[in-house]
Amino acid sequence: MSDGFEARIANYLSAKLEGVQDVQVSNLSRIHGGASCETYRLRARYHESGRLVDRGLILRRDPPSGLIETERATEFAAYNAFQNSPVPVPEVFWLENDPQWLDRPFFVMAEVENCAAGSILAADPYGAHAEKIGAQFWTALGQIAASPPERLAGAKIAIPQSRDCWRVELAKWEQVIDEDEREPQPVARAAIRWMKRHPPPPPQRLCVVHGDYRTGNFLFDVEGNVRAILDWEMVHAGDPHEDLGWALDPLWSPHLPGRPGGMIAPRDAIKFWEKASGLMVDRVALTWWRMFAMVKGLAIWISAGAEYQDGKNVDPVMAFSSWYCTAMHNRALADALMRDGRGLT
Amino acid sequence: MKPRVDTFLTTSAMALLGEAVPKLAGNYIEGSVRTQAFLQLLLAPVFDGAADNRVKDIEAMRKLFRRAAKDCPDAAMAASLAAAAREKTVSLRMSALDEVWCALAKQMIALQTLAEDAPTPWGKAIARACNRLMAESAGRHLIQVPPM
Repeated sequence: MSDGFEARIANYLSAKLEGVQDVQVSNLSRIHGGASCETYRLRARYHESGRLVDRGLILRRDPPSGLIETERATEFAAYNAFQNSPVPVPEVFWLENDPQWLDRPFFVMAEVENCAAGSILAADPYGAHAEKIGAQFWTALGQIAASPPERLAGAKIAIPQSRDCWRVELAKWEQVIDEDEREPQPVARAAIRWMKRHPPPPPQRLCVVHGDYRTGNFLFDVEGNVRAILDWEMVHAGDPHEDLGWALDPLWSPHLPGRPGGMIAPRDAIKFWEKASGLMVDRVALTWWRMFAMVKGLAIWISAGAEYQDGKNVDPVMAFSSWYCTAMHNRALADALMRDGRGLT
Repeated sequence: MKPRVDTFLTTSAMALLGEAVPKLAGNYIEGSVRTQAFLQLLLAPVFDGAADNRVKDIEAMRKLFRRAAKDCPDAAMAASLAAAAREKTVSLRMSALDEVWCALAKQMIALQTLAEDAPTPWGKAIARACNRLMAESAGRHLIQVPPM
């Protein structure tokens, strides 16, 4: 990492940290993955009231072109909304939109240290801690589902009418497919038609929807404690079943198909979710939102493939998403269509 | 003899993972190189079967179109389906096969939409056949990943 970038971050921190001296940035490294933005880990050292402070920070900056077009401000607002709540999130400090500092919008938050994220390709991402982590993971999702959309007051998000939740979300991702497909998508198109013919019942209530709640997007420690729910860039208001459908998707645990996300069985997952959310799963709605999860996934992978093909973002993660994830979701969705949606819940 | 392309992809992926990646530990590029090597391992069998799978997709769609054209309630679509079903594959280059597949897939989307909206035995049968064709095709294109 260039010294220039470290110096620019140090300048920024000096401007933001009042009453401190000698701000130095070291150990700056970019974290691989998360193609929707650039994530950097760094150490910041400075003197505050005569005392040396040495702390880990995470900086998330908009990319020139990402896997998903998102806004840092929305993600920052979501982290803020869940500070000091049962849903664990890192402490966030500053959101910066002025390009004079680091060319593109970014925000800075605390590093949650001595933790790891599970890989969706691992044979058994949580090993002996799978049950313990599963209980926390699905409970935290229930707690998010128990949060009214007004909790996201700091984010500029639209709150749809209950009856329109499905229509708004489906239209959003259908548009992505319309704009980014470079070849016809018979499976996605058939699924979209099926979903329009079989709309879900309106949600029991609107809630905060994380938008990308899954294995790989949370941190846990060596004792199996979930320490932080991350990657809130697709947060919005919607149906509580939406996150549930996404988190249950088979893509997140290809080697453990009976344990979504590589944790616990779906029946147990839903029990934790229902207890924490105070809601009962509606099987008809969940079927629809599980189909939706696969269509949304396809839209993201199609978009990633287009970005790579067009040379806008040649991170190999984009090519991997396009090849592997598209094939897997096409297969799962085509099978679901063969069964007219049966068997998904 | 020349090494096969899938052999080269696999061998060079193993070299990247065994030799390059350990030397890059801790750098951003480590993850990037690891992903590239992993992709090469995944794509070696895909490369080998790509033309075969595309030809099977194309033949399956032409067979479906021949069947669908017989009782299709839309005369223009029936003619278009019959014409597409009569076409022959002339090039086995992947780019050419992809182009043919794209044209047929567009027609299949239109056919399936029409069939789903037709409350007739023909509509039901063709809609089911389209779903079956998509599932079989998706199965052929599935990429197997080893646990990491």
